[in-house]
Amino acid sequence: MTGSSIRYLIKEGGRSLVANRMMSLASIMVQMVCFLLIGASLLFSANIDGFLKSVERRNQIAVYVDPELDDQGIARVRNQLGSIETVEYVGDYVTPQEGLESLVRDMEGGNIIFTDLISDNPLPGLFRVSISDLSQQKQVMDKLKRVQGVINVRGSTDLADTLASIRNMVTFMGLAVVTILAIVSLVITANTIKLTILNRKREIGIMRLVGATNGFIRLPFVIEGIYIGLIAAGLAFGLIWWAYSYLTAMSAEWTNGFVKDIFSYLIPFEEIGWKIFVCFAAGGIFVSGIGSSFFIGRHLKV
Amino acid sequence: MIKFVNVNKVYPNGTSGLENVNLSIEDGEFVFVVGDSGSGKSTLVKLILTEERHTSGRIYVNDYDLSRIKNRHIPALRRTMGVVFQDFRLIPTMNVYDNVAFALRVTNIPSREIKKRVPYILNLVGLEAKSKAMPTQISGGEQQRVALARALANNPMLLLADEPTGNIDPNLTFEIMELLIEINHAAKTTVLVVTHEQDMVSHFNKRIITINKGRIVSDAPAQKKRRTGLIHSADPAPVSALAEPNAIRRRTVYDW
Repeated sequence: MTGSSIRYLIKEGGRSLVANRMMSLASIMVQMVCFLLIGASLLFSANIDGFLKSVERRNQIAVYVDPELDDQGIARVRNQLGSIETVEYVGDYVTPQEGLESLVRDMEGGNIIFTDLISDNPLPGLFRVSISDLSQQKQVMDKLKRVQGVINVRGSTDLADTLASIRNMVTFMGLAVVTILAIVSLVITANTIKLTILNRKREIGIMRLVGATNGFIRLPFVIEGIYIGLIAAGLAFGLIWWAYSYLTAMSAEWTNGFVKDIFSYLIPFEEIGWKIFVCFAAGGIFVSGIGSSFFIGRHLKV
Repeated sequence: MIKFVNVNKVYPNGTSGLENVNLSIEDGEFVFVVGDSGSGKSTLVKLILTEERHTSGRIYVNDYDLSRIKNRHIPALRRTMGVVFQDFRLIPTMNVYDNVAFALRVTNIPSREIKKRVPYILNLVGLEAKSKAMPTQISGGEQQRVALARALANNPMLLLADEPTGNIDPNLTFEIMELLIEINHAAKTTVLVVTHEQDMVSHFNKRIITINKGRIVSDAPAQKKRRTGLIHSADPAPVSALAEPNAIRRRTVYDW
C-alpha cells in the first residue's frame, strides 16, 4: 500500500464518518453513555476506597514504651517501629506526663479525681502508629510487641477487621460493576458497529467488485471506528470532568457537618483524571477500531 | 478471453444454475448473452466475477484459472474487468468523481494519475459537468454512465454488463448500447452484455448466446453484413475519438 493510498484511507475514514453522520452520531452517543457509566462507577469506587483508607488511617495502634528508657532508647524504638513493613506512620513520642494531661482532657470533670488522688503518674510513654493495610493489623501488632523496649501494644482489631472487610467488599463490588458495565458497553457498541456495517453492506460489496482488497475495504471502517471511539471518549471525559468539578466545587460550599465530612474526601480530579482518560481512549480505540475490523470480516468473504 | 469447459453450478439448496456449459469468447469480441429470468445468465456473470464458485468443470477468465484461483488473487482478477449492473451499484455517499476514482484508488494508482484519468473518463461518457453531483442527484441513464465510467477507469480487458439497460428509459437503452459498442471498437475491450431483452439485441449485429434452464441453447455469430436499422453502432470508432469529450454521444444516432 502506497503512502498516497494510506493518506486516502485515513481521509476516507473521516469522510465516511461525516457521510454516514446519523449512524456515526448513534454510535458516538451509545459509546459515550457507556463511557459515562463506567467513568462514574470508577470515580465512585475510587472515592469510597479513598474515604475508607482515610478512616483506616485514623485507626491508630498505641505502642507503650518502657518508662525506664532514656531519650536514646526511645529514638531507637521509634526507628525500629518505623522500619516494620506496612507501618505507615509513627507519631511523636507521647511522654507519661502528656499522656496524663490528654487523659484528663478527655475525661470531662475527672480532673479533680486525677489530680487529687493520683500523685504518682502510672501511665507509660507511647507512640501512636498507623498502618497501611488494616487486614494485617494482628500480625503488625505482634511484630510491634517484639520490639525491644515495648511493653504493651493496643489496637482495635474488631474495627480494623470491619473496615478491612468493608473495603474489600467495596473494591470487589466496584470491580464487578465496572466489569459488568464494560461487558454491557461492549455488547451495545458491538451491535451498533454491526448495524453500521450492515447498513453499508452494499457499499462493501461494490468495493469488492471493483477489486478492492480486504485490507483496503477494512481500513477506512477501522479508522472511522477509531474516530468514533475517540470522539465518544473525549465527550464522556469532558462531561465527567465537568460534573466532578461541579460536585467538588459544590461540596466546598456545604456547611452540613456529616455531608461536608464525606465530600471532603473527594479525590481531586487531577489525581484520577488521567487514568480515566487513558481508560476511555484505550477503550474507544479498542472497542470501535478492533470491533469494526472484526465485524466487517464476515462481509469480506469472497 | 473467457473460456468455460463443461461447467456445472449447483447451489447449496440443490438448484442447478448452469449445466454442462461450454463457451469461448475471444479477446476483443462483443457478445450478448440472452435468456429469460432464471435461465442462468446471472449465474454465468457471478461465476466470471467469482462471486460464486462453479461446482465442476474449468473456467478461464483473462488468463486466470478460476478453478484454482486463491481468494487473495481474486481482487487482482477483478481489476482486469469492469462491471456494469442493472442497479448501477454506485456508492451513494460518494459523488460522481469519487465513484469513478474509487476504482483507480483500489489499485494503488497515485493521486496525480487519478486526477488526470477521472476527468478523461467522465468526458468519455459525457458527464464531466456532473462530477460533483451525488448519485441521487442524477438520472438513471446518467447513473449508468457513471457506472460505465467506473468500469472503464482501469482500462479493463473485459467489460461485463449485467442487464445494463434494465433500469433506464428505453430511449437511453440504445445510447448505453452504442456506448458499449464504441468501447469495444475503440479500445478492443472484450464486451459481454447479459440481458433478457431479446428484441433489443436483435438490432445489433453481434454474436448472441442464448441460455435456457442453465444450458446454452444457441450461439449465433455476428452476421458479416449489417442488419438494417443499425446505424453507426457497427462503425469502428477511431481511438482518438474517445479522447474527445462528448465524442461518443455526438456519434450516437437513433432512427428505429
